[in-house]
Amino acid sequence: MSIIETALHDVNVTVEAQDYQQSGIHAQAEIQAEQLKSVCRALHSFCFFLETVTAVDNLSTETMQGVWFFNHYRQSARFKVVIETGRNNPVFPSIGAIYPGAVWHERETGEFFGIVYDGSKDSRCLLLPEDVTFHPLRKDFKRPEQQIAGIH
Amino acid sequence: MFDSQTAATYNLETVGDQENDFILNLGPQHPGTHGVLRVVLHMDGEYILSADPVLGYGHRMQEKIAETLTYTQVLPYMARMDYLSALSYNQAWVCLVEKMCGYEVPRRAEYIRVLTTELNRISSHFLWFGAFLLDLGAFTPFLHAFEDREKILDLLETLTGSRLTYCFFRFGGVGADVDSVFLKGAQDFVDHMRSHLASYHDLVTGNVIFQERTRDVGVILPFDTWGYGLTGPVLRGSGEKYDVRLREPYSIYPELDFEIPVEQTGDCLARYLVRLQEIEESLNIIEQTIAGMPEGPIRSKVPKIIKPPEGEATMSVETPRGELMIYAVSDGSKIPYRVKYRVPSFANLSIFSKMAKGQLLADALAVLGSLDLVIPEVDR
Amino acid sequence: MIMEITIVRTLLSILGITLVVGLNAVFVVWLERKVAGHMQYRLGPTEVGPAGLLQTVADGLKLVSKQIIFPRSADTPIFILAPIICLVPVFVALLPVPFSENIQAHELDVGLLLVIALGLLNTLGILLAGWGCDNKYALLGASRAVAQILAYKIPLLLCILPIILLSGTFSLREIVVAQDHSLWFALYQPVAFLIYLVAITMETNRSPFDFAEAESELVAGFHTEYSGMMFSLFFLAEYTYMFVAAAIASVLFLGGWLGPFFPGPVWMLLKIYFFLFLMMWFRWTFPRVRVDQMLSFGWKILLPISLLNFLLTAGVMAAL
Repeated sequence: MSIIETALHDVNVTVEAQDYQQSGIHAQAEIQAEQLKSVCRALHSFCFFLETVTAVDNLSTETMQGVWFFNHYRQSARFKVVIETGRNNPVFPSIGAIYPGAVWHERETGEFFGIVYDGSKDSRCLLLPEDVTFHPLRKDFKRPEQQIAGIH
Repeated sequence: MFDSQTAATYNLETVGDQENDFILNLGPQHPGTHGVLRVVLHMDGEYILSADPVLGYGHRMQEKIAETLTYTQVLPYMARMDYLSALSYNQAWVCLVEKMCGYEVPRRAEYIRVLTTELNRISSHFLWFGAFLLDLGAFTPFLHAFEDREKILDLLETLTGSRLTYCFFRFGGVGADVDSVFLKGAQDFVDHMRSHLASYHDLVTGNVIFQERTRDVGVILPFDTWGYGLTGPVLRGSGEKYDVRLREPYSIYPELDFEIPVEQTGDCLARYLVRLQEIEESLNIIEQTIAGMPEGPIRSKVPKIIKPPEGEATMSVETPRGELMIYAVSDGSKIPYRVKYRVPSFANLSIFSKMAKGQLLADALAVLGSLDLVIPEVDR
Repeated sequence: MIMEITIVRTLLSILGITLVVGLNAVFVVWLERKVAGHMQYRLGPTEVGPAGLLQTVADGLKLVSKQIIFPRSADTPIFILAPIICLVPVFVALLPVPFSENIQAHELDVGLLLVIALGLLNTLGILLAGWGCDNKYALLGASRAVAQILAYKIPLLLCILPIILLSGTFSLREIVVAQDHSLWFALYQPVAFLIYLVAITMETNRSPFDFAEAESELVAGFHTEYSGMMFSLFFLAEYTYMFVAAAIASVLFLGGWLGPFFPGPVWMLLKIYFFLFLMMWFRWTFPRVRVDQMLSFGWKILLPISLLNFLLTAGVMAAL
């Protein structure tokens, strides 16, 4: 039993093993938004470090995937956590209280995708100027030259 | 001098008697922040009550750029993120695409990749060494380190054609073959550094002022390391033996014999010692790759147009600053659907506001220097 | 007749001191850049004049021709006054310095006291500069300069007192004469000599004690907002102050102009530049000390040792 399954023993999620050689990910779990905090607490207590918080915008299926990557210092165990929600006004729970390093990742992903991380202490823009009204990584975002020329 | 509205904008704690406090804007143009980092400090005299790093002055939206270009066109952009370890970024991207498409890499190419990447790692550590000592107010070590760094840049220039922003690796190989002149030059450099590294220790490490300035300054406790996702020498200074070359070996690293230096104290001195030992280990690796350099082709056949199959993949490499992970999603077309760069400096900088609290201004700048930040990498 | 001689003498003294200040600045800046260069695998200036000797002149011309920028929120009178207050005292402090038995601008019975008192005015100039230009970095730099003043000034005085006990005079000329028939005072007072060396490095704001202008922390410290000629006045004051401090050190501890073979002024200049070279060596080798470390070093180490040294000297003198 891998350390990921050991860590998540008490949390009711299904961990699917992945092809590490092909994808570089050891295991993946698709969970519900309410479960994220308990998953993170379990991982934190097993010394998993947070690699990144990001998202994938799927225009074709009208979904927004929140993606969290964890890894372990003592053994190779990359773990991907996915939460899927609708593209319009996506909200994910913030894990800044458990992983303090997540606050910056959430600020960045939030401004790029227009995602609200519920319960975050700090939701200011991080890399973009504070007055931007667009979210550049959303797939329906048009760059200025595209808007002017009317190309898609 | 203290303005509570500014404090609220910048996430500064408004504690205690604010009559004598003031807010200091450190950067974006400041000699101590090495680039366009801005830190808003709430200070009481020389002491920092709270600090809030403000990022984005060098932001170029690299992830959006990657979504508009083909896989091949993205490659030169790698060198523009962390311009001090361009080859590590090169390696991450080519390995990722090779992993997604299943390309083979000839062994000679792998050896050349490791050889050049380790040279690049040493040059990056030299620059950090100089800049860190500059933060502590010593100017001479900076130029001593640059003198040696120049040798690496000259060497890599003969091979890659550029001195800083290398775009040398190719999918399935490398751009050019090494000749005996280059290998001899690399071996000469290793021999030179073996003897010359002692002068670094004589000039800096043994200095009482240096030791007083760095010992017990900016201690990172092991408990904070995984909460903030620290990697690289910043983490290894706190006693955790984590190195991507060891945990998730890529290329020919499993076959090579090298140590991962670790220090236990977690202060600026520990991070300094870890990096200097890493220079020595990199010299070992370089020597082994020169000795074991196999004959053969340097590039395998890959299609002109690269279309990875639908799916996703991650690739992580150890840059001089820590773990770089690239996460890419492909929709089967020749343009990446989504690329995420997980950069080491970003996570390492996020702990700064916690470390700066209660420190003297001089110490905070020493801490900032010891984190070895490259701001274009943080901002992307 | 006496009146006219006095006027001529005064004019000559002013001319002489101005020449010394100007030539010293040109030479010391060149020397510093050369020393730094050779310590860092470089050559230093080579282009202007023989071996780059006129580089400083070119730099000076550039600085003079530059615009002086007055910050809008600066306190302009103080802003203008600060570099002048920094520079003038070091001019005056050169008055009682003897370059040989008979080359001295003005013999004073209390020459040493005058130099010490004028040395304090330098810090006033720094404080005014930091306060007047309404810049937080400058203010921090100035407050550091003021905070450290007692930490080095008291040990400095306690190192000078044994010399006064040994020579029995405050006149710089007499102190040198007192060393003529005995050993140089550095050999009688090695501890005082070493502490004096450290203290003048602190006093002249030189690295490793340069936190009033600590570049990596405070951009340029107290002179952040100064440009052009006003900046170069600070620069000039710093290098002249180094010259004065080195001259006093050679008078007090190394027997001033005394020495075999060469004439007096040559020996005096050799000793002065020996001290200046030492200060350059410190600067280009050491990292910067932290402010609180320097303060505790001054108060907890330099002060007790120099006090003990003084009491011991006084005790031995009384017993003899």
